[in-house]
Amino acid sequence: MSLWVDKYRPTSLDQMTYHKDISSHLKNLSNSGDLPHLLFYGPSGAGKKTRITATLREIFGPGVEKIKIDQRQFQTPSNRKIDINTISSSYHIEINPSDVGIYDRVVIQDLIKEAAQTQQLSSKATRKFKVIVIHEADSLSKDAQHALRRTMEKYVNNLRVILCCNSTGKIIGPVQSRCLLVRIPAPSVQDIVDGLCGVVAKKEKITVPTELATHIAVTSKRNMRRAVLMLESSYVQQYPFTADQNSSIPLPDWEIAIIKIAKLALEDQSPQQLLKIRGLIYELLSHCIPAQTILKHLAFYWIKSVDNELKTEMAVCAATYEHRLQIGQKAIFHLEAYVAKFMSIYKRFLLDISSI
Amino acid sequence: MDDFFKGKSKAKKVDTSRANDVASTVPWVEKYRPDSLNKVCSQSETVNVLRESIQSKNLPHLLFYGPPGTGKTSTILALARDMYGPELVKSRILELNASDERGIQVVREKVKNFAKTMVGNNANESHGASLPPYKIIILDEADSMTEDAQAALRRTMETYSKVTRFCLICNYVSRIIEPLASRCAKFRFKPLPKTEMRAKLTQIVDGEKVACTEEAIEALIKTSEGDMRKAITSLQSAYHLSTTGKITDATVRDMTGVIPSTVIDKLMDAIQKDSFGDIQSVVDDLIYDGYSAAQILQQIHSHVIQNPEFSSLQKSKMALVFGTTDFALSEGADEQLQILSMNIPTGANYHFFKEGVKPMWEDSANANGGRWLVEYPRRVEKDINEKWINTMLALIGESYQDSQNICGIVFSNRKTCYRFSMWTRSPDTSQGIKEIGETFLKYLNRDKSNEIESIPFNRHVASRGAKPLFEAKKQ
Ligand SMILES: Nc1ncnc2c1ncn2[C@@H]1O[C@H](COP(=O)(O)OP(=O)(O)O)[C@@H](O)[C@H]1O
Ligand SMILES: [Mg+2]
Repeated sequence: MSLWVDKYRPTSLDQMTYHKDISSHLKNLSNSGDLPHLLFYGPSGAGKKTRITATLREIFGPGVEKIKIDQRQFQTPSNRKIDINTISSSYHIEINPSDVGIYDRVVIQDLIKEAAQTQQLSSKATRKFKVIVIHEADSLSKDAQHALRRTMEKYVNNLRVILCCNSTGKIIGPVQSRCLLVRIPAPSVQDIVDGLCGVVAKKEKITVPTELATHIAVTSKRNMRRAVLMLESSYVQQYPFTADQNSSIPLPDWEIAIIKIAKLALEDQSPQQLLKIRGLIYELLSHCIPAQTILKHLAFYWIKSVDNELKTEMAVCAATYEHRLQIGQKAIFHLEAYVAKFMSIYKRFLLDISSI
Repeated sequence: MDDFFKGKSKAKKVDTSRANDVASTVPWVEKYRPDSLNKVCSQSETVNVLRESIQSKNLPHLLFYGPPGTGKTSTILALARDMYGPELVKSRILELNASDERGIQVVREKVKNFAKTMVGNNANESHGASLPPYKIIILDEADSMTEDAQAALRRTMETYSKVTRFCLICNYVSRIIEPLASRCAKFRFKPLPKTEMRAKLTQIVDGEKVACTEEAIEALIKTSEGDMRKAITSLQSAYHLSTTGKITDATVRDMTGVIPSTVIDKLMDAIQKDSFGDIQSVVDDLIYDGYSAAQILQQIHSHVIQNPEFSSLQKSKMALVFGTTDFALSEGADEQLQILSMNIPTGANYHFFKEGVKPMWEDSANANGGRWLVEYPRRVEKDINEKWINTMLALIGESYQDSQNICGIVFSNRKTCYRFSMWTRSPDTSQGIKEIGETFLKYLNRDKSNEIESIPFNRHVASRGAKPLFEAKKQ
């Protein structure tokens, strides 16, 4: 049996429950005959991918859902061969540059040129162009983005590019100015509540109390995917839902582990404690929890917990160490330094207070 | 099911058969790309020089640089078309851009093959005039070529200089190595002025019979900042998006990702009130709504710079913060944390000074003087007003014995603390200074809240953290 998230993923623009205006814009655009290059951006869990798939369906019809996975081989300038998996239908192809690493420029250019030289053959095709979807476009190298610029103009007759990313910050200006920017905000808490109490509850024939749905929506940080997952795991844990279930919504293990670290640092600021925390951080890292996720969760937990007077300093400190983490090599150094810094700030504050 | 890549061999046939039944899908940017030098807007200096060199058949190597969407690629393509006529142009230009393999070896090879076929000075029937005896090699997006590849290009340019002209195009001229740049005539492409943008957009609006308000055009011009490509793409998208069939400025703003000014006002309010909770809630919403940190930064920046409430010193301090944040962002730092931690120094100073004395160290009255200093943590917020009033009233009511030695008091609202300082003239008569300090402390402690035991006095010129010159103790 599939998870609820996958079961109730909308497949057409009409089924989308929130951001109706965006859906109708995309619908107009899809039916207008010529589509500009598109750049979808918004936080994760906002529904970008779902919307892209639905848009493609609107443009090409249900044919885009007949998907196959191919392995294709590319040759790098240094004559190395690399294999990557692509997902494609007769109308579109999807790639994820993070699968390709530093050779993204070669791979994307080869794909684009090859696709541009081929014509839409299917007699059912309503459009002359094909579409290349590039997921996680924020991780495209600058090199690959530069290469996209003129290509997007040259092959515009046969080809459209759809880019998908979390923030436009990492997409170079010249690429942005060749695209229509489509911002997909995260669903509001109300949107999520409606989704949980409406669509999911109705289809599963269960009742979801509004308070529980609201609590889930807030805890999910306005992330629809997480919210549905959380609802399903609460359901598995206990159904019918009870009033006190709010407090026992199961968090993922890694999140519980991070909260534990945050609490340890708030309880006691000492070298021994730091040593203990380091061990816990190592464990998280070895379970492939990204260092950035750990740092951000710690930061927001601490910002929430400390006195108002300290919050700004906490944010500055978190931002500094997160920046170092990005440019540095060894994640554990920066995470440990961050925890140590937090401890020193917090300890100084506690001493200050007790001396007054 | 058809393969995504099938149909390569039949491309030609399919092309013609399908051309009619599928609507033409050329986007407006391509449709309205100038096909002759005459149609290139703005950039008149460049265009005039180029036109002259066509006439004199003496085209130098070219280097075009400037921001995106200002007509660099269009100009060279238009020039080639003007020179060779619409038919021959395809065989006379070689366009290599960043998407092509441009290692040293490849460029040499391609250029060699292309240049090999000599062009005769033959007359061309369709074009009338005789054609120039060289071909054009366009290296678009040349700033993404490695320095080595650029260096290797020097030789190639010289070897084939009889039969080819090179045109290098880039955004930043500094990315082109000097020996290469010095071989070319350089042309700077400026962002298009508003009038030119308006004219071109109006032409498209008329040509496509689109209903579009004046304000919408203005909004397009404003958001595209001289980038013609962006303006045209936005115009066409707005046209497709608008459900009513009419483009308004609201459609345009919606689409270009500009944050509504009410949200920015709310954020600035929170920043000025220095309320972390409020800042966090606005920033969270902005990030969840998908706005990019760069956009937030840019809009705060223009809000602050135009605001007369801030002194120029404050503005430069803020500029420093913006710079740091922008740098961190460009290095891939987390957007939410960066914006949240932007510690914009908006904190105010309140001065209460004797007539004729300016609240600056440089004022002759203060130059040799010093100050009594008190800092309260932010958590005492609710008692601060009372203290300010008490100290001011004491000053007005001449409660100080040595009052001619007093210059004034300053109250500063800082992120981390509230600070009072009592400024005095020269500290030579230590007795008078001490008395001022003790009286000052007395009035600060008068409301019995957050009482302070002793306060330090230092000269203005003393270095930070220096030992206090005097101390005043609670009596
Ligand atoms: N000076 C200009 N005059 C007329 N149209 C222009 C001009 N500059 C840009 N455009 C429009 O913008 C599009 C992109 O211009 P292009 O020359 O490719 O810019 P770039 O400078 O980035 O190479 C063109 O298709 C054209 O429609
Ligand atoms: Mg260009």
